Amino acid sequence: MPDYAQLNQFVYEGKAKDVQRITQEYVDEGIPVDQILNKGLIAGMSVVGEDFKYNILYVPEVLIAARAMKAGLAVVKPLLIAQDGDSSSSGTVVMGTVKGDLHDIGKNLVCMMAEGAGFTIIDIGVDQPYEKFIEAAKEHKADIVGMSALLTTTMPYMKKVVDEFENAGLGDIKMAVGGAPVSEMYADEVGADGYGSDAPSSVELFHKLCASA
Amino acid sequence: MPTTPHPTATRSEVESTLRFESNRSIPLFMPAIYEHKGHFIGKTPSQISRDPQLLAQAALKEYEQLGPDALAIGVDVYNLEAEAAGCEVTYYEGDDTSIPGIKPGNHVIKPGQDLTNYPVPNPLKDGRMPVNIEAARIVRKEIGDDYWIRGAISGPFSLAISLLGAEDLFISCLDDPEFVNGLMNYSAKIIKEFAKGYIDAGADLIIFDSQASPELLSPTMYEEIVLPVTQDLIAFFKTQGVNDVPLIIGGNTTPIIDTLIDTGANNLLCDFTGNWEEWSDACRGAKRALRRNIAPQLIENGTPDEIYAVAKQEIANAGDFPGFIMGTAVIPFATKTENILAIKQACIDAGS
Ligand code: B12
Repeated sequence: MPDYAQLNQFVYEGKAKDVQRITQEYVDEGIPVDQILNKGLIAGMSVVGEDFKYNILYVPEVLIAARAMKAGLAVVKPLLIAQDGDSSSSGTVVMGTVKGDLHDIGKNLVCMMAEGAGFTIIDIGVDQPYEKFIEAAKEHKADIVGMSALLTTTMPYMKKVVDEFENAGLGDIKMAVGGAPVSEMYADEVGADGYGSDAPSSVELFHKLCASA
Repeated sequence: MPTTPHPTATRSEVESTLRFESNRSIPLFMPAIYEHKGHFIGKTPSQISRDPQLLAQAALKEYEQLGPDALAIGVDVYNLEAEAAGCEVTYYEGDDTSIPGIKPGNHVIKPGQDLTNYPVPNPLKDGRMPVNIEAARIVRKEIGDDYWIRGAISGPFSLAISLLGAEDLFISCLDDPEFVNGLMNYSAKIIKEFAKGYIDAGADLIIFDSQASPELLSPTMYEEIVLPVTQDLIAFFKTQGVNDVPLIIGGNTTPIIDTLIDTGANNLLCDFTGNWEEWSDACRGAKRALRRNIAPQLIENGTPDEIYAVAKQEIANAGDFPGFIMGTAVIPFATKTENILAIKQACIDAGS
């Protein structure tokens, strides 16, 4: 009987080697991989996300927890793909920080949590013009494009990206926005499909957007 | 000598607020203007950040148009020390008003690296340290001695992020504290050299360490990793004759108020997201001056009347707190001058 509470705890504490070892043990015991992923790894990381939201954990702890989760993912992911092919992914998200903006700590946390939750993440980095968002969205057949901005002077660029997707005939791709100065209201204003205030709610948003696609 | 239609505080008036002795009826007004400086002379942040003449001209125009009670010399304030140590800064050419910065991947230090003998930049030669130092010298000469001019320096944790990269530093804080201590000490060495350059040019100092904000780093880690080096820096600045040191950490720093007081900095920041009651109570007890910021979105998009009303309210909240400084979050590039002056006006009116 797998001890998911223990695996959750190792993810939470960022113990990468233990996470990898136990994940491998459970796989070897023949426990279904999607169960190990959901109940062991994702569940552990969800607690991390929640505790970060309420200032119980800080960025360093979240990063080492994400690293531990990745060590577990490395074990289960190839098996999931072999089993289900592409359908093992919850959806493909192209993520980037908009032009003129170099902040990426928050974007990276969202990427890590979303990857942990089964999304395929294409991170195009910081200071990205709309052309790069479009190129990556086309190449990877994105379901969602996520934009991050931390400066009041760069957030208007989100509207430009949304408009250019529309102009390029890619209006059916869902657009998500986030970053400290961004709000639900601002998301509506720029014509985005959703806003995420922190990593856990961003993952929820991505699930919702994929379901409505 | 440049003139301003708005009266500014003399050095001794500023000092009496910083030393918690002031009963000045007009609160000090110190807006946070870095990249926006360029707008006063029709130049981009990248242009003024690389040319001492332009940077000085921009600062002098800021003085003329706004009448702030202090100036800070600096544009992309987190990059200079790291650039002088070898990090590549991305600038934006033509009329692109984006703010220069170090992109992920352009950092020079690797996790675990031994830094004992790593070269310390020379502020008179390396990177753009000479640009800021020269600009400080020009501004001092133009305005004269009876005014508070501060050279912008990085705080040790923010410099460590610029040197190593944010994620590597955060992970190292847990994985390899010994390396992080070495990196913090190396950062402090660079900062001290840069500070000496400014002091020789006739400027005081202002430390920026927003990357150590409790939105990123836990209060315990701040205390263990950042506090000792910051205390050492502030003590060192005093030996160099700089007794009034602002320590600027943005974000909601309410959870680390007591630790920030322990740094020895005699003027601190309660950002627009911080809790004014808790902050001002603690600073009243410890006799530290405290700057209160107004939110950047309001200053950028509000009307002068709206901004005036908020400033007036903040001044009223401060009541008889002797070390009060009316401030702003970093003013976005191209913000309207009348919006910033609305805050100055609220300060002046508080005295009448
Ligand atoms: C760290 C930091 C930096 C670092 C960034 C390092 C890095 N690799 O990211 C450096 C030193 C590079 C930096 C530079 C600058 N910065 Co800065 N920085 C910050 C700081 C302290 C923290 C930001 C952060 O990482 N927060 C933590 C993360 C976890 O939160 P987050 O980003 O909001 O992300 C969460 C959510 O928003 C959401 N989310 C984020 N993105 C997305 C995307 C999607 C799609 C979704 C759904 C959700 C989502 O989920 C995340 C996880 O919970 C803030 C102050 C603050 N306390 O916020 C200032 C701040 C953002 N910076 C500011 C400024 C002014 C600057 C500079 C202009 C300073 C200067 N003059 O040089 C430069 C700009 C450089 C540039 N061209 O971009 C100002 C902006 C003010 C304004 N007018 O908008 C702030 C607010 C500081 C202040 N109080 O004035 N900065």
